[in-house]
Parts: sequence; structure tokens; C-alpha cells
Amino acid sequence: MTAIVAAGLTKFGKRGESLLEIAAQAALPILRGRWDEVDYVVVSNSYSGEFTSTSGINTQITTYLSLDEVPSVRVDNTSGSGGSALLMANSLILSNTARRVLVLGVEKMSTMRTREVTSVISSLLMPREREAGPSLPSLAALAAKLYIQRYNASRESLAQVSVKDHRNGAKNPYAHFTKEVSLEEVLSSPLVAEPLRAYEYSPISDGAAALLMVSNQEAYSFTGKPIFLKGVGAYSTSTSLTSREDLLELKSVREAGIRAMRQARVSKVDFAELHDMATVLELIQAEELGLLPKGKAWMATMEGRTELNGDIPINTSGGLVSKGHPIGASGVAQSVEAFLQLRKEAGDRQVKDPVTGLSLSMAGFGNSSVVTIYGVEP
Amino acid sequence: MKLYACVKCGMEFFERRAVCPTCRGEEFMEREAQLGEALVETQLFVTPAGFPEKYKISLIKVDGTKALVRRE
Repeated sequence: MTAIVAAGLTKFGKRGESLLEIAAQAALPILRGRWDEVDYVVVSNSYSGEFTSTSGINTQITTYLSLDEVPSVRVDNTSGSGGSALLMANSLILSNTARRVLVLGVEKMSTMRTREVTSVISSLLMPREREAGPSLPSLAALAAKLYIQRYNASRESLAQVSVKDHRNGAKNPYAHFTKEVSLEEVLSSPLVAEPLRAYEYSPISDGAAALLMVSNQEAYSFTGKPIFLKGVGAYSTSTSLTSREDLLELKSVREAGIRAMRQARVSKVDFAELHDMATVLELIQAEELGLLPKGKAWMATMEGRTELNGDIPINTSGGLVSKGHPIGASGVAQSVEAFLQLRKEAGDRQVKDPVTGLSLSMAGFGNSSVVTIYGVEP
Repeated sequence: MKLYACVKCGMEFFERRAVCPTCRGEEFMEREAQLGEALVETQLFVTPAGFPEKYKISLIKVDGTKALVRRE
């Protein structure tokens, strides 16, 4: 397998800089002093065409970084692009196609207004389903209704995910929102798709995240504290929502998790970064991954078990809800958080002595998933 | 409500496909079906550009499959 030996991040949020400038901010701290070492660049980006009228973003970025002759590729798997980019970088190294890969996730979204962004994101739906007019947030709202009904979950428990995520985000200087919110504030924020409200969804953010990945054998020549990929699992579910048996089942999450855990030979992890585009998704995903029992994640959240000092801290970075969700950057930023946590460099949001971590990068409404398990040892 | 049905095995779809996921048949016929019970529904307050500003989205049972429907 492979290792992460360096990581970089920009602050997420509404940024005045261009797509290229944001990308460079995350990449430069990694690249300085290593210009001749990177031999492949994998760019995670989904919507440069839609948001900034830009194509060929991977070679534009390498040229902007004066890595003009370094081969590169753009990985697009919508909101799951980051996990897929990590998977590709891992494969490039394991197949001896490359030795030192820069993974760079970036998205600039604030060029458009909310309803236009909503329309762009909806373009990932199958044509006839898209024609009906659902937004991705509205699909999460349908899931929220089903979740509350099926498991007799309290409405407050979904909002509590947002409270917890914002509490963590307030400790993350790179987060879009660095302010705590109360349960009352969450439950009185504007409705987006009932029953879910604005503070229960990820905001529209610009931002970038970067990683340097190398083979396990080389890892210690870069840093005394490499973080190792122990397992990576990928799986897809039908993009046609009307073909799915049950909207509450995110089979791609479950199966990607099983594969990653099997490869990593672990049955539990010390923390997890999940894809909480909406609060309810964190609950469903935690259950699908076996981090919490089926139908009980809402209760565990209310009991504080997913807090920084709980037995399974979830979204220590603030998650997508608080940290923000620059689509192409999100999955890579999850790996950055795992890197910081496992190196015990996460500052005020550090969990106690973690040795393994998990991230879930999910595309669309669970259309595809990549789960990665990280460890302090190979 | 128009549905697509696999000519070989009869499986029904809301969304068109080139191949039937059950029997791998490649021929489909169109047929009309009655909307059944709504499984779940939500009111949108933020809608995608190009659509009305407020409506409901319902996941509805239709014979052997489901449909996604906008209700204004």
C-alpha cells in the first residue's frame, strides 16, 4: 500500500481568489523544496466547467505550479471525487506508474447563486428523475423523514449532528463556519427541504486540499510520521433512485466499508470523517459502516458518543456541514484531517491517541463511495 | 405515468435503460401505469434554477417500480 507524507489545506469558504490560486495555496507548502520529486498529479475536481468555464484543469494547475511536464489527470466523481482521486493515486504508485503523487482537490463554487449551484449539482441525477426537479438536499430530506419514521428518532437528534459538527468546526481554523450553533438556532434556521433546515446542510464553499503520496517503502525518507493507507474500498449503487429498494439503504457505503476494513484487517477505528452533505446522512452512513448499530446512530449522537471525547468521534474536522463542501476538495480534505489526527497535530480538536481512522467519500446520493482506512503503521 | 418494461422478463423502470439489470434483455416497451401510494414526500424551499420556486417532490409506487414526481 501507500502512505501520505505531507498535507496542505486552504481555508474553506467564499474566497476572492481564482480556482488556480486556491489550488496553489494548498499545494505550495507540500511542493516547496520538492519540485523535482513529484512525478504525477491527480486533480480531484468536478465542476470547473460549470462554475468557472474552465476545462483541462489538471494541466492548467500543473502549469500554474510550474510542473509543466509532470503528467496529470483530473478525477471527477462528483462529491466523491476526492476519495476516487486517492484511490487512483494509490493505484498509480502500486502499479509502478508513478512514485510520488500529488493529490490536489479543488473547487470554486461561489461564482454562482444558490439556486444555480443547486441546478448544477442536480445534473448528476438520471435524466427523467432530474426532470421531476429534486435537489440533492431534497433527497436527504426524504431520507430524513424515512429515518425518523422507521427508527422513531427524535427530530432534535438530526439537528444535534449539526450542533456537534459546528462545535468541532469552531476548533478548525480552516473551516467555512468557525462558530458554534445551538440546537435552537439549528431548528429555527430557514427550511431548505422539510424537515431539514439550512444549518443541517453543507454550505457552498471554495477551497482546496492537497496530499503527497508515496510507497510505504519510501515513506520514512520524507517524514518521521508518515500516515499509512491500510485499506481502500470502492462500490457503487444505482444512480436511478426509483430503481433502489429503499432510499435509506446506502449500499455503496456499506460495501465500500466492508472492502476497506477487510483489506486493512481492522474491525473498528478510532475516528471517522463521513460525508455529511446533510445531517441525516452522517447517521445513516455511521450505521452502514458498522460504526454504530442500525437505527441507533441518532441515539448515540444524543448521548455524545460521536463527540471528540466520545467512543467513536465523527467528523472531528467539522464535517461538510461546518467545514464546508468545495466538491472536489472535500474528500481530499477528509484525508488531511485523518493525517492530522493520526499525527496528533489536530490542535484543540485532537482525539485521544488514535491509531486508526476512516474516511468516507460519497458521490451523489450514495451513487458511489470510497472508504479509506488510515493507520500510524502500515 | 409512462413506464418502460423489459420485453423479455417484464421488469419495469421509471428511468430508461439500454439493458435490463435482471435478464440483460435489450428490448423495452412503453406502457401507461396508474400512480400508486406515495412512499415519502418533501416540500422544497430552495429549488434548482429553471424550476418553480416552491413545490413538493414525491417518491411514489407505480406497479413494479417507483416514480419521482413534482407536485406544485
